[in-house]
Amino acid sequence: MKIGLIAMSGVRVRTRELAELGITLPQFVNRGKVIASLPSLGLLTVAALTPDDVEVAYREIADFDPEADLEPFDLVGISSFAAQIYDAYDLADLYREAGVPVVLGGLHVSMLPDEAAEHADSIVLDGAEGVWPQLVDDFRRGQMQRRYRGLRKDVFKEPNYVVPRFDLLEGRPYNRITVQTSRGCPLNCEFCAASIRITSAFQQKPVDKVVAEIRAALEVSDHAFFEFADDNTFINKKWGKELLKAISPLGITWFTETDISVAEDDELLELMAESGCRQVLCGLESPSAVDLDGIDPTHFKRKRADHYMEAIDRVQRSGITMNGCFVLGLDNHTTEIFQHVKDFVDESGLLEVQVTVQTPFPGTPLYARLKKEGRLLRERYWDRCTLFDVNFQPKHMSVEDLEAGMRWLFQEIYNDCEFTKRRRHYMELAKSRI
Amino acid sequence: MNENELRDLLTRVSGRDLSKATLNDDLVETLDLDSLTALRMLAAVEKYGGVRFPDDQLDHYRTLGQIIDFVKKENKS
Repeated sequence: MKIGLIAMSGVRVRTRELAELGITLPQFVNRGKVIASLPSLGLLTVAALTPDDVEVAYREIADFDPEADLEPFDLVGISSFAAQIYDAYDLADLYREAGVPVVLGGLHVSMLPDEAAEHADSIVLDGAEGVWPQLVDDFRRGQMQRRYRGLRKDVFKEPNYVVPRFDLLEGRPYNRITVQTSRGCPLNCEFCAASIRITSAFQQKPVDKVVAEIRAALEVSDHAFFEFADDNTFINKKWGKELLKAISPLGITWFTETDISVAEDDELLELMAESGCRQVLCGLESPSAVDLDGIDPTHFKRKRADHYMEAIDRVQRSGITMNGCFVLGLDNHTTEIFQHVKDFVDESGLLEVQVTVQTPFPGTPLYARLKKEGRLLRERYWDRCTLFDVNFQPKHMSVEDLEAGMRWLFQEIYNDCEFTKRRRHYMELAKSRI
Repeated sequence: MNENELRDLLTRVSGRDLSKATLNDDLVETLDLDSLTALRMLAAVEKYGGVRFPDDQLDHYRTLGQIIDFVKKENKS
């Protein structure tokens, strides 16, 4: 028996003007390439959960030649985010027409199970942990159910936990390998469509398990650059320090997503730098505290916004670069926000910047609120959940203003000249640590 | 800064073994370096070699030979 696990990957933009502009901006292209080249950690975990006597093949959508025959499998599992979900449905329909049963899973499927079920023989909601071995067993007995619900907690505890099958990546040209150290995030930002939606509580992986996974990945690629596939790695500073002390001897270099509070702990920053952290991605969201009202229930980000500049400097002076993320179209944003973000970026010395548009992904509190307020522009716009396409009516500007402002900002911050300035700033900071 | 000093410096900054790298090897590709480590290596050369690479040509200095030539040229002028 052979199961094909297929990952949908890549960055997409639907709005024509932005797509045409994007391909001319080197920094936009570079980040897109990095994201597109990340392996699907979810499917590597599913592969590891598969019984040993079943053959597993890991494929990515880019592997498929639309002109060629479908690769033969006994069962196909497809995982997809919202933006690629219609492509995933098309592929699922093709396999099912060919008589191959299909299982769909992932965040979007968990948010909209009834929709997904129309294109699958079975769907898996939430994590695959705790349920995939049962599904495979049921399939072998010809009794696969229409719907399975995986675990929302205890995913890192025995017997649910497995080391992802990094060996399936052998021979593939990945420039980064992902390892998850935690699932969920306690901040619960209104727009967040990440793993918090499939967990009932913030979960941290035991440090020894993280180390074991990194060692397993290093067997596949001894010079791998690691990306921790977390939503907020260092919200718990005590656990974070334990983790950093444990991975420091491994000699790896790595990137992760966390929040700006890492700047408040010198010991943490020192340990991060010593253990090979090259960059943190932080959701700053907007340069002004007033814009961040209502973003998260505890006002975590609003309380810190007035100190963003100082925090960025502290992080980058420790030898770690920051990729600062801004979300355009928040309810307090007016058309002044575009210049405001540009000025902030210029002054901050951020090495990298990620600008996206607020996106109401299905299943998020933001989606529920905007739907209730009648501000969603269309129904079933999932293929436009790209983080670059506008799907809602902004509160203090028109849709056209938001689109045009985003294009202007892209041109201002993603051009070679600005990136060169930011790299020079980084080199000067790095000299004090060398 | 001679070749041995440069090799020692870049080994320390990158954490990679440069002993087998030839003068013409592309360091980023040969050592499988991430872009930030590559920048840190150039920053180290600037700091200890007393030079400054042109900001718009940072991506051009990718081999030991190119870096040595640049440092020599800058120190002469």
